[in-house]
Amino acid sequence: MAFFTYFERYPLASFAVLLILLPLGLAVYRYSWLDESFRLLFYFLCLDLAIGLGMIYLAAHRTNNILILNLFVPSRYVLLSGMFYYKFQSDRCRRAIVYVLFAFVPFTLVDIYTSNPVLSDLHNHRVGRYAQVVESVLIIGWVLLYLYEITKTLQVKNIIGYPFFWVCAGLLIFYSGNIFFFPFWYYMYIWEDDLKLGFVEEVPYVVEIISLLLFTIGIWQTRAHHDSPES
Amino acid sequence: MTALNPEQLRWSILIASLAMMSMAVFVILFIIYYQKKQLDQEKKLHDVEKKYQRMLLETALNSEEAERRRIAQDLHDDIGTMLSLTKLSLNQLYKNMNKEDPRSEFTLHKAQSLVEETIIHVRRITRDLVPTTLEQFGLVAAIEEFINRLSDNVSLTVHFLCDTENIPRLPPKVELALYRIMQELVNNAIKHSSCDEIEIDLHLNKGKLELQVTDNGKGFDTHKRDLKKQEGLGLRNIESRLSVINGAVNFQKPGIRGLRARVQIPVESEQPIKPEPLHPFRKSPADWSA
Repeated sequence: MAFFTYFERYPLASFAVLLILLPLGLAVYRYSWLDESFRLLFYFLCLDLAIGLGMIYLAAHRTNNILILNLFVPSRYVLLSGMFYYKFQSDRCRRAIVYVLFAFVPFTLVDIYTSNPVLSDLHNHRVGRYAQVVESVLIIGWVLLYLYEITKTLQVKNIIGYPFFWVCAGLLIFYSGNIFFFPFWYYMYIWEDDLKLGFVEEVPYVVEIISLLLFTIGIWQTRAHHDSPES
Repeated sequence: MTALNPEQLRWSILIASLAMMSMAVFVILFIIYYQKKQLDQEKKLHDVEKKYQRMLLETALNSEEAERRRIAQDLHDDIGTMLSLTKLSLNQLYKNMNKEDPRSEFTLHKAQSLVEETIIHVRRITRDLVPTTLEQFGLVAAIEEFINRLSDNVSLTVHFLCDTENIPRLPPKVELALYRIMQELVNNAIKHSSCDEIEIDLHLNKGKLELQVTDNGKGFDTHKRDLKKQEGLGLRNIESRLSVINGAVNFQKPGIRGLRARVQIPVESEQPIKPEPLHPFRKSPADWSA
């Protein structure tokens, strides 16, 4: 019942979570055509759905759910950068992804700790101050680097029909749209006396919906691309 | 420093986010456009390279034909004339010699027959080098003449199946290429397949001119490409000639034994009635007067 009340009060946020089922369902349907990168995307979508539903559940029951979000950030980065690890042809880029990964995960944990000096106080737990901004910069960097690589090597003949291009487009839209929001989350999502930004708070959900639709296009293309890589 | 109120902050974040998203959309559209442009350029470059390769190949083949023609001309005009004069001189000598010496007479007879044989060989080589019948009467007549020359070989039977009425005159370049390919295939069959029967079939098939050379020799495994390499220059030469005239060749096993080479070339609907000169660099009288 609490779920439905939440859906009624926050329809866009709830829709953004439920829309994950679209690319996820399609990924299950297309699972045998998914390569390593898309399998990581599949795991990301599973985790995203689980985290989204968990957060809705806690929010509906008036419980602070920010800790889940904070823990989601490093796992999200691991899965998303892992996708690029499999896609990059350049060994230098792949090595860079691994090094950054090992640096980013402890950084996130340190960021959570510094943003929340009293970790045991879950009621007043707050979003990490820098982790998501750094994550956005890193993912945008990997996306741009990957797009540079495919345009330079011309290994992809038809970019519109190339599934991972749509995933890159989704990630680029998601992180570009959110990069200016993430620093404010530290101030916005406080249990008491939070910063209200009105309709602007809905923008991240819109961005997430757009990115999920782009992921769906990418997953949809996997079969055609698998059957005819030149297409 | 003035602090931003929530309203200003709201609009600042919104504008910054929209600007960032616009940039992301621009990057995506740019990548699509740039990639397409790059691929178009690469395709154009590839086409130019292909055209250039084809031109080089055509020039090489034309040079080869020109060289053959020059050698044939030299053989006919110089060696042929000298051999004829030698024959005349030997005949003259025979008339004037002392007939009572049988050894001298025998030697002279031998010399005469050797010269006659050499004249025949030179003529044959000249005809092989420049198929004049092809220029004058077309592919069918040239193939028939080629088969006639092969008929000296008692152990080999060559059949020629042709739909003569339906075979149009083709551009000289195409006729010459097909003739050379047929020569190469027949020579290959004789040299490598230990066959005793060859069938040459020339017919029109769905708007394409098809030349089939089938032998009953030992053949080769058409699925193993390596064997094709062993055949070497001959087959590569066939492929080169076909690439210039947009043709294709494939090899099949007609039965338990033997091999069938199937050459197909597109036939253009409009055929020039007057054949162009075979010599690629030789100018027509009209050009000379110009």
